[in-house]
Amino acid sequence: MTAPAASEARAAVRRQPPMAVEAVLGVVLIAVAIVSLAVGASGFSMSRLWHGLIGKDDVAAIVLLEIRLPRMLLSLMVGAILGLSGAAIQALTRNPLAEPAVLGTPQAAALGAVAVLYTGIAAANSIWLALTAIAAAAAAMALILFLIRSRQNILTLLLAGLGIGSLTGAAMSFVIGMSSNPYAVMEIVFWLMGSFEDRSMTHVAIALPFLAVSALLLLACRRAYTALALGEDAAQSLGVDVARISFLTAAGIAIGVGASVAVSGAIGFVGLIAPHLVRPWCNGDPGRTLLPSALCGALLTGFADILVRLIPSTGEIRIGVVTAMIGAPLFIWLIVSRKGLFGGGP
Amino acid sequence: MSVAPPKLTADDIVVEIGGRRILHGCSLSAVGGEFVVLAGPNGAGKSTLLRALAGLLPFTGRVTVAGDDQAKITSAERSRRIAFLPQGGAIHWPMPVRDVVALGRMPFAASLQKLSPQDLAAVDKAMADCDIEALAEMPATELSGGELSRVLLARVLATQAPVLLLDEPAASLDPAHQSAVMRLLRAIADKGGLVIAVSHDLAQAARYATRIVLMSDGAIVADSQPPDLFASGAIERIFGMRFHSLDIDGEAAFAMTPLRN
Repeated sequence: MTAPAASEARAAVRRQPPMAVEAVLGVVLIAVAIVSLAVGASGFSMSRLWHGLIGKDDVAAIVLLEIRLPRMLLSLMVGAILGLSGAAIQALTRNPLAEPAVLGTPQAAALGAVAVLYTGIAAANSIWLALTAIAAAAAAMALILFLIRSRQNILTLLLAGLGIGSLTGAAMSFVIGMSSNPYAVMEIVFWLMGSFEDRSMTHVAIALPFLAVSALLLLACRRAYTALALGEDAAQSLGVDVARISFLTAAGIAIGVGASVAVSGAIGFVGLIAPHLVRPWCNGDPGRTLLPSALCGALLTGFADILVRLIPSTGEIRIGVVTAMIGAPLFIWLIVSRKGLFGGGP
Repeated sequence: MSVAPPKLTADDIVVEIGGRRILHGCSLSAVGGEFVVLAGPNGAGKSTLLRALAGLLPFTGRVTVAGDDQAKITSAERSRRIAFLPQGGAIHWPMPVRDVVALGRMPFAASLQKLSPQDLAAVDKAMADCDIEALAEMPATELSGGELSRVLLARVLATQAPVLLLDEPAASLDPAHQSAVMRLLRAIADKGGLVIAVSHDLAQAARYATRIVLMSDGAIVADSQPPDLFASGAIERIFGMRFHSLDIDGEAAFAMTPLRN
């Protein structure tokens, strides 16, 4: 073409070398993991913990390996899957405001858990609670997939998710309202705010296979997510099976978030905020955002779980409260400070 | 270019959406070397026909590309044979322009991060053809509407597919870029490519297209070379406009004016 080029100066995208952001986040994550192991109610010194680690202090060893290690592992695993799920649902829907809650997944998982808690079938720390939450998340996802079977586009997916989320939220309020036992209500409400307190390696073992499957499903879609930046029709014309990618994403999020809610309750804002924090270092590429977003989610959740143990209070502050108190202002700051975050021309 | 010779046929295409019949049996055949402009009033079914040809919506009838039934080849193979530009396309994340154009190489490249020299050459050529080299490192979300249109067209051209299906490739462009895009598409056809583009600009189509297919109410009502079409009176019937062929300094120019009552 011969027409004159645009002459005004605009800021170019700052390109990042491959794996740079992953490396930085990985190093910080290791630091958070170590601090997480060093912080706790027993107040042991670092040297005592070290003696526990090398087998010279049995009490410290028990605290470290049976109380703090599962807690640290769970907080990082759950945070990673929340960050990954957020990046995946944002990429699929091309909506920077999307997070797993948009599909109603955590709400459904929480409803399943609450139902079990309310009826007294299972205690808050049991395997049955976990399995029920996963089953409820999967059921909600299956219902969504059934609802969108004739119209497999992303808008229908979002609207179906919104409906399911509202329905499960209402059902949960109903269950809580029906409860005659104020103690049970307290337990439910606290549990809903999320916590990694008093988790054991059993919880890690319950969650790990589900989280691993979820991560594999979502990471397998990364190339398709990049193509979806152009919209559904263009992605389809580039060979992406949009219906299949929607299914894989929905299944991955149901499994991952269902298992997360089961072992830690509902933790908000991580899935929303993690992708936004890492996106500027991923060349804006939604597929490339997945892994850094998982690392960032692990980082945020791990950090929040350290904070809940350090903030002085009578009981432990719930982690869902901390992530929301950090996440919401951070999100607002991102909206007002980062031009072009939500698209739109000059 | 792929080895498959550019040829596209559509046989009795019927599309129904939500119980409403949008296309009533459209048939069309085009080969390499043709630049076909699909024209017609709003709601005539142009975009629907184009999307059916691209295999993006369910239809009855048959579409073949390079001799193969479009429904029977894999989506990967189809993406190598047909490149498609959606109408009013958008880019949803602040990716650099060059990365957006490189998405066109997805049907061929194993990794978008490590493009082959051939892929890179295709991207460079498409960016030069669409005059967007200066925008290469800009976030695509910060472009003007016309710049973005050129970037998205370059994405399609980077595929170097033998068949190009373009829904209003020149819409929202300034006059100079409009002509440049039409000239470019004609040049692609002259080199053996098959271009089918939806356009409302019949004056440009008269000048650059080898053939105009006129649609109205979900059916093809005329299909001929531009001079024959304008002589047939179909434009007056469908649009209520008169078509003028002018001689300006020895060069043919075209204009449309409303019919006087």
